[in-house]
Amino acid sequence: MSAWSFFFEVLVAGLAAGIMYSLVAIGFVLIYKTSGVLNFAQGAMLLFAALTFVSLHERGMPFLYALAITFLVMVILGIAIEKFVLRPMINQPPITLFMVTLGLSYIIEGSAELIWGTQVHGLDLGIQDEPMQIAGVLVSQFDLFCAAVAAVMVAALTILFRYTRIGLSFRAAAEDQYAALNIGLRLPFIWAAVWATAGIVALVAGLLWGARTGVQFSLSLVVLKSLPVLVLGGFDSIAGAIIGGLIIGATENLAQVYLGPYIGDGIDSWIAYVVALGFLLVRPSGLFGQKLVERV
Amino acid sequence: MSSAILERQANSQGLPGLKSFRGPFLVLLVFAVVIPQVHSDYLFDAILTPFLAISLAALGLNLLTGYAGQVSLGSAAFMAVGAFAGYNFLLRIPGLPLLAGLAFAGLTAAVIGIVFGLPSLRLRGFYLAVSTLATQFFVQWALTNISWFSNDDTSGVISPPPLHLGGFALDSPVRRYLLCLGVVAVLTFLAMRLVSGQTGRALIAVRDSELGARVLGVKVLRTKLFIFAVSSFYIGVAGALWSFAYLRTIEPDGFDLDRSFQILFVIIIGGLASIRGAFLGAAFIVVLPLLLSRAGAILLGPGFDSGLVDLVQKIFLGALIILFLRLEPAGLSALVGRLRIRRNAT
Amino acid sequence: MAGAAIRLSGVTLSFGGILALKGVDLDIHAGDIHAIIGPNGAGKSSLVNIICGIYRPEAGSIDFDGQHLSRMETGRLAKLGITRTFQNIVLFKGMSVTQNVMMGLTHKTRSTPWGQIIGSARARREEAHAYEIARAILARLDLTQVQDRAVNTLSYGAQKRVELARALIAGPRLLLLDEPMAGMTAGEKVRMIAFIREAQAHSGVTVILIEHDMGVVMELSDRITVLDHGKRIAQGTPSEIQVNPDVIDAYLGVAHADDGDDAVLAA
Ligand SMILES: Nc1ncnc2c1ncn2[C@@H]1O[C@H](COP(=O)(O)OP(=O)(O)O)[C@@H](O)[C@H]1O
Ligand SMILES: [Mg+2]
Repeated sequence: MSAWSFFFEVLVAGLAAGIMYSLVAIGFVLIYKTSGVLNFAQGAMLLFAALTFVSLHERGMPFLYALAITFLVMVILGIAIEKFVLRPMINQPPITLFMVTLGLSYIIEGSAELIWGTQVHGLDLGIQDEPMQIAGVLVSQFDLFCAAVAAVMVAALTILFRYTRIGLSFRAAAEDQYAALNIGLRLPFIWAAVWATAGIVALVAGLLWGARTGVQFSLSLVVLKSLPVLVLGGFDSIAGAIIGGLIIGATENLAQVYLGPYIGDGIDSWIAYVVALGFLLVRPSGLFGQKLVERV
Repeated sequence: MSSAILERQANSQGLPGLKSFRGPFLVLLVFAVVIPQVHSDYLFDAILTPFLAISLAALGLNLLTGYAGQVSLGSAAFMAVGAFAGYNFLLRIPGLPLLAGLAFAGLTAAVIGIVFGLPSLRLRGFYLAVSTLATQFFVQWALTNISWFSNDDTSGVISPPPLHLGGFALDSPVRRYLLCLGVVAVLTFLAMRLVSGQTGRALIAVRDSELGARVLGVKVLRTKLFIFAVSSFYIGVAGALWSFAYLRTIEPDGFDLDRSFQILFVIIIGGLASIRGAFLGAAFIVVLPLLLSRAGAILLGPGFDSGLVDLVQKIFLGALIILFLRLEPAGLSALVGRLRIRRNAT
Repeated sequence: MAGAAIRLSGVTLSFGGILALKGVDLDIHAGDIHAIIGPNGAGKSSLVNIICGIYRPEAGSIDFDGQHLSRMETGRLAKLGITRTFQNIVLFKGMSVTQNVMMGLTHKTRSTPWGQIIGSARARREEAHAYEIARAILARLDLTQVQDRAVNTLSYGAQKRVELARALIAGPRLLLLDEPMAGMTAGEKVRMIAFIREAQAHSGVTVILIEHDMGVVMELSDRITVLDHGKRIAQGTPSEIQVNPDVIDAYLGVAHADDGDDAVLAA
């Protein structure tokens, strides 16, 4: 195999991994954009969703029923978090809310394992994972499927934000909470809706990640992979989450393959952070984050 | 909330003023003179020594996060740096006194702290918090993968040298405990002095309004790097004590992200920007698992599943964090402060 | 210390394409109380923020006390003798009133952190001195009763006074007051006017005052600059401004939707 086609394969595999990171990052962006909370529990929600689905399915529930029930569970979980945990803490500084979600992630992870057990589950979504030859480069079908799901999700969210009434209220709430309250938008309802949506996004990401790596505790750690993506793309941009994910995924894989032999194994634990950090020092508000001058 | 309480809260969040050091000194006396009379290796080895190390790390983080407002999710990395640096200094410089080794451990951590604190000059809030994760993962990776740090030991688990203090062998749990107590007491005293003066006010000013601080002539960048260094020094020494006196082994694994979160939880539960809070929170976090597993043993009988207890503990801890942030954002420290007011009033 | 003169020439500033200031000139004489007035959004605060180096102008220059600068440096303000209060109160809420005011002496600190920890003679002297004059200035501003309270437990008006105390403690040469009386009761305003007058008479400090209440402006100021939509439309003494046709137009002609009800010529 030529050096170039090898390079492209590494690149494509990296981009594919990047999309997986983006899927997680989108959940963060949704909540951050509308309520200013960086939801560290997104990873735990993802674990919870995947574990619930797999456990129901394994206990003999048909695929679609299990999916529907998990869907409902995630919507309820999202709404419950918003209503019982975050709403009472409105007006607290963002960093306090972040720490609240840290506590939340402990609760959700612990509960998921307490309810469903700690063993590893395989998850088969019935998607073939045979490599296909596209323009001379081998691409995994599963990766293509994930990319398609990500595309559909971004399209759906874009339509939701741009063209529906509720989406417009999302955006108004994101722009200015006080103004939104003043013109009579029902913010609590909007937040609940956003959290429910984030629950659904966690479900989708959880299923794909679960199918890829098996459903186990380490699923909740994907949040650590998506944080550099968010830093790069800006916490408030869905497009940033996608492009940030692609950049992180690609550099991470390239670095691992080409630099790994010289530096050592396991550099994927930090290389994404270094890339994101280097970038941040040049552009402190990320790729698409808005540059604001503090009002005095 | 009455204004008297708010006032106290502000004082505990801010500066202790030039109050006498009598209270802390009495507590120290009890820990130095009375408690060592107890004959229980378990008490010193399993409770008090880790409690002191965690307290010191939390104190360091509280200087950075509680006082200066720079959130760090990488404390454990600095503990690891301290542990490995202390090990290497003592190993490679024959005859180096233990206290000098600890000081070098702290200084090494301080240097690394300045390097990884540099992003704080440009980044704020979440961006900074995420960037401290880079420290966490990079340091852990470097210590695992670069074998020089562990003296090319392939087992991955290395033992600290025997501890001596001026010809006095620290070979029993009580003696190791007293070493920790001495170090922690001195560093705590220095920290109390630091936060009660002009520099302490500058830290809080940077936390509460960077712009306001800058307008008044606070050198914001210098202040941030300074507190990154000081905080890392404390946490580095804490890491060295943790490995040398408590674990008696040195390995990167124990200094993972969960440990970083643990230290963060200690200061949330104990009280941000409170010296006392670091100790109260550490006591809570160290004792909680012991209590829970006792409770588990009593409720579920001796053959209970310890994995289950771990999960329950995790849920419990998460719930506590949320409850504290919601109901008592100033932490145990404020609770204790209120109790004292009430007692004085009656 | 006597007040300092400051002159801004051709200052232009924009935010994301919106021009906040268009070639503004401002000439402030040493020892004056100089008011800047104009409707909301006229660019008054922006002007003060440029003097503080918080906003960076795209064009224009500043002469402060004989030095020609293209831009101010926020970190050097205190050393230059420029202090300020903020339109939206900026106090350190984790500190007591006294501690907040002591912060106003930051730039005079010579002791090192280590000196403060071990309690060197210099550190103790500085601390005692700062404490003492903070108490004195708090007494002058009628804040003795609340001097040990957490600053965020004070009323809005009292917080504004704490900000003023912090700005005055180091004996500034140029004092920038961005709406120091907004939201105050009539009684509080009267006292605030007295405090500003007294501070000015006491040290001869130059004062730039942004204020909406025309009664206050006419009573306090030696000279007035009027801004509208980022442009200077007039400058002069109170009596000149009162009869200036452009000013009357800008205020009484219902020219802008964003004027708000505070832009009424009350005098
Ligand atoms: N930090 C900022 N970011 C964006 N726009 C700003 C900022 N500060 C001021 N502006 C804009 O500049 C114009 C002037 O504002 P400002 O100086 O605050 O006016 P004033 O103090 O006279 O009410 C306004 O249109 C305002 O929206
Ligand atoms: Mg203004």
